Amino acid sequence: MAPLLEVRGLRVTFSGYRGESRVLAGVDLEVGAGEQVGLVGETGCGKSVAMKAILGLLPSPPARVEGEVRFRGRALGPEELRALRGREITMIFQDPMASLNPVFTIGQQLHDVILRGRKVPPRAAAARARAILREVRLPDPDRVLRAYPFQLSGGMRQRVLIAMALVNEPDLVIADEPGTALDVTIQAQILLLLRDLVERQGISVLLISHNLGVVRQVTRRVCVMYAGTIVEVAPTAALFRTPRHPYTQGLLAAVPKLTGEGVPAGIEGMIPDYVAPPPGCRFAPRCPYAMAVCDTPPPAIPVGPTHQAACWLYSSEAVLASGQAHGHGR
Amino acid sequence: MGYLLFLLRRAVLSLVVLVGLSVLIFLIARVIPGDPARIALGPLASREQVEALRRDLRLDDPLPQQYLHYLRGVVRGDFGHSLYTRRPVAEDIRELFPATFELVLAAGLLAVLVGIPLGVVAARHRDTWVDNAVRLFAFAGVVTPAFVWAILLMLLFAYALGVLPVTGRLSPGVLPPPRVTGLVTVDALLAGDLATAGDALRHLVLPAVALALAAIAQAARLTRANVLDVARRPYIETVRAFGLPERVVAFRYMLKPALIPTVTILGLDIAALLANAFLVEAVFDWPGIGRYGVQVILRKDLNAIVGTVMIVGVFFVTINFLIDVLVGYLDPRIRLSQTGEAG
Amino acid sequence: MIGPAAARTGRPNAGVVRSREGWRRVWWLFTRNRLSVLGLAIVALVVGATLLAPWVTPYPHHARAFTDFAHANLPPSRTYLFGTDGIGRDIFTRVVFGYRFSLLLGVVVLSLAVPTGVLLGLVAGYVRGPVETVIMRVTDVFLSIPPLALALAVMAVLEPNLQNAMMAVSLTWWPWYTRLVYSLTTSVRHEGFVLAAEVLGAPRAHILFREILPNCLPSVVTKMTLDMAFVILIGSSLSFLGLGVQPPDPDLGTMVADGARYMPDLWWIALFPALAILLVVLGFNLLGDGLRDALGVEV
Repeated sequence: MAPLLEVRGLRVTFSGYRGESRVLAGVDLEVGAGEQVGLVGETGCGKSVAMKAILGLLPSPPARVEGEVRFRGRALGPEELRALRGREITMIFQDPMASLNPVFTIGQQLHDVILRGRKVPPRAAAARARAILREVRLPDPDRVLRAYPFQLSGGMRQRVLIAMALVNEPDLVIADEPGTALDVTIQAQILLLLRDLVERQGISVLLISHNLGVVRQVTRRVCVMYAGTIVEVAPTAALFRTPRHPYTQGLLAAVPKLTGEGVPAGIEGMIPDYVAPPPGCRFAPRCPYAMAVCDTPPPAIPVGPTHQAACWLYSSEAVLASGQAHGHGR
Repeated sequence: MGYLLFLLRRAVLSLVVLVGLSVLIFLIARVIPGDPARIALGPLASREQVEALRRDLRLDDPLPQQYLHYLRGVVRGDFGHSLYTRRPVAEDIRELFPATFELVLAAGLLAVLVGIPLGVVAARHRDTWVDNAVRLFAFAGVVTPAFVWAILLMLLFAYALGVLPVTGRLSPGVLPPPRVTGLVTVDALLAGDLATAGDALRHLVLPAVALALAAIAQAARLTRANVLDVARRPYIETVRAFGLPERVVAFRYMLKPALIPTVTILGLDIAALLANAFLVEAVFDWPGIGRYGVQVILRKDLNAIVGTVMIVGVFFVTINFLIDVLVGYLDPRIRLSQTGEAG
Repeated sequence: MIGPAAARTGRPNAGVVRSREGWRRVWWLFTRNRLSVLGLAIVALVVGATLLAPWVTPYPHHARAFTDFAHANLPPSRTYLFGTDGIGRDIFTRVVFGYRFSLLLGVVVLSLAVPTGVLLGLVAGYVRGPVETVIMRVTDVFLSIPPLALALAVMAVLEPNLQNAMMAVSLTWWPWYTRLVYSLTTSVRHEGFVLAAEVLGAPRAHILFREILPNCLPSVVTKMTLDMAFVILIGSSLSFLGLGVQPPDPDLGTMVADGARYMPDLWWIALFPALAILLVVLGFNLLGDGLRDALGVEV
């Protein structure tokens, strides 16, 4: 079955004071119908940029976007993307305080989103609003509807954002670091709620996060992103069990555990300069297994039935040709 | 309820400011170096005249007593007599203030009704020629003092083009309408006298525009900047992400939050119109409190100075209060008392 | 560390210029905008002309008491670039010398108002409590009155001359800096670096002047540049009404007032000083705006 969302060769360049910043260097992604996919990467790897580029939300100068986005098999231009936004494709934003307009009530803002879905008379819209607020487990929906954002707690605001994303029964929800701005315990509640709702309604989710724990809880498949490229794609369990890409391995090794010895090791080095990025694999300068061939961009190489890694280590020809893997960095 | 309490607090504060202003003005007027009576009458007046004036102004009474006398007068509306017009200052004010008020009101309306939409248009068409034209105009408006505008406008419209009159509120030979508000245009309309209203309006145009230009420019600039700032906010991105059409986004979601900081600062500019009126009235010979104020300042006419400053102070305080009312209405965060986290 | 300016403008490095790299970036951002560079050029030109006034003007003695009725009221020509006024003085020379008074007013007013206002703002924002309340209430009262009105009120009871005008305008100016620095201080008050200094036992003076103040400097400097324009505007307005610089000293506002009487026939007497005011105010405004954009601050 064709995937619901297909992204091919997404490239985004920004012009800045030191030159051109090649933030995304050819991102390929897929989200199937009813599938929950995670997009993981550290801060600065370009996850938010990728998300905005997919939705057509990047302002055209200074950004330049290339590549293809297909929804239900159809390639989409900016106008068509806008038509889908709010209906078939919705978003949950990161910071619930900043994402809600401070001078309008929740009710007014939710109302506009509902009307975006379809034109219904005010009474029906109000009923729908109350219903969706109950679904996200907000007690006393009427009070919430009358309230202004600053009168609600962070957790309540995040639930409102989820409500706004789900009220028009979308096919795909893109969630950008949901709950990061909240207490860990509240965040856990929110994530469980989200998972519950999307599983019940069979909604596809693209969950963007820097938090491996979150991704592990909520998703079935994970894409790992580093410096504007996708380095590994795998089913969640497989990724955590057998990470293949050196970056993923480093990432997982860096997570503190309750058992085991000592302080976890980090990954040496820093993310590359997007104005002068490495010519090939962008992780090569920090990779303990870097070889000469890593100066050319590695393709996504299958390492399992549904598991791919963009790393020359998994191309037998490349490994043989370079003889022995070199030591740390170049 | 929270809103009313907020307004009450602001009203009380305004009253405190007025009282403080009256004390300040009183003290400054009484504490200036030299003998106020001598300064007012000039070096040629005789000693007896100076003594008489000192008695009249009660300059030899102890300070607190002077203040009480002054305060009683202020509350009654009695500021004493002006040496310049030889009339009660209160009468001068009553006659002249409406002219200035008419001017300031017209300029204020222009600033809001022209300036704000101009700013919105510029923001929506950012970086196009429309935007650049508005920004250029706004810039010119802000850097040019009101009296320079007055002179330039006068040169262009009155002298070069000869379309509009140069001085006064009505053409010579035109009878003023029966006085209801003191605003000649309004009074003429109330009396059904369209011809006079038209004449008054023609006289009002140049001074009002000269006065308003800086405020229009500032309003356009502020609105533009605030609309652009709001446009970058995450909550606008949210609305865009939900695919709402640009028009709805602009006029509903951007305008209201953008107006809040705009109105706050613009309020000060509206108040400043009264200050600039002093300059414009001088150029156009407009018979208002501004022209009067400059004359009495140059003549060191104490009573008149105090009266003028008080009426101007009342005006500022009132404007500030009205701005508070408006901002409180627009911004729910100010108007609702902090209810804190609701769990 | 993200400072308040960064949070507002969304640029992580806004408001903090500590390294050479930072300065170079600021310069790049500044020069990107042609108008800002124009502002800088105008200001440089005016300041230069002011400093070199006796040497760049054809008739420097016209700037003092001088009459030459034989050459009065002459239109602009090659001998008198901007024409002559009612008593025969070269307007071009007087305009350049007039700039001296304008700039002097600006410099003196800012030298008095800025340190006072900044200090009060720092104290109010850091110390909090009743001190804060008193300072900010007084500031609010002053801020609710337009600068020109307050200056007029003060001049109403003083002898009209340049010194008193400078004092009057200084009195109206300090509150703006208090409010600006107060708001910056309160937003920075709880940042990590301040708390760290407090924990380390640094004396209050150190915290105020070595930790908090540098964060305020970009905003304060930008505001000072913009204020030069505004102060010159107010100053010339006061002189226009006869409450500032007194004759025979040349001041742009006084010259416009004098020239207004001869309008429209002897238009040059009022027009050139008016344009001169426009030019210097424009220059400082463009420069200030450019600084504001390049430094990423709010004023």
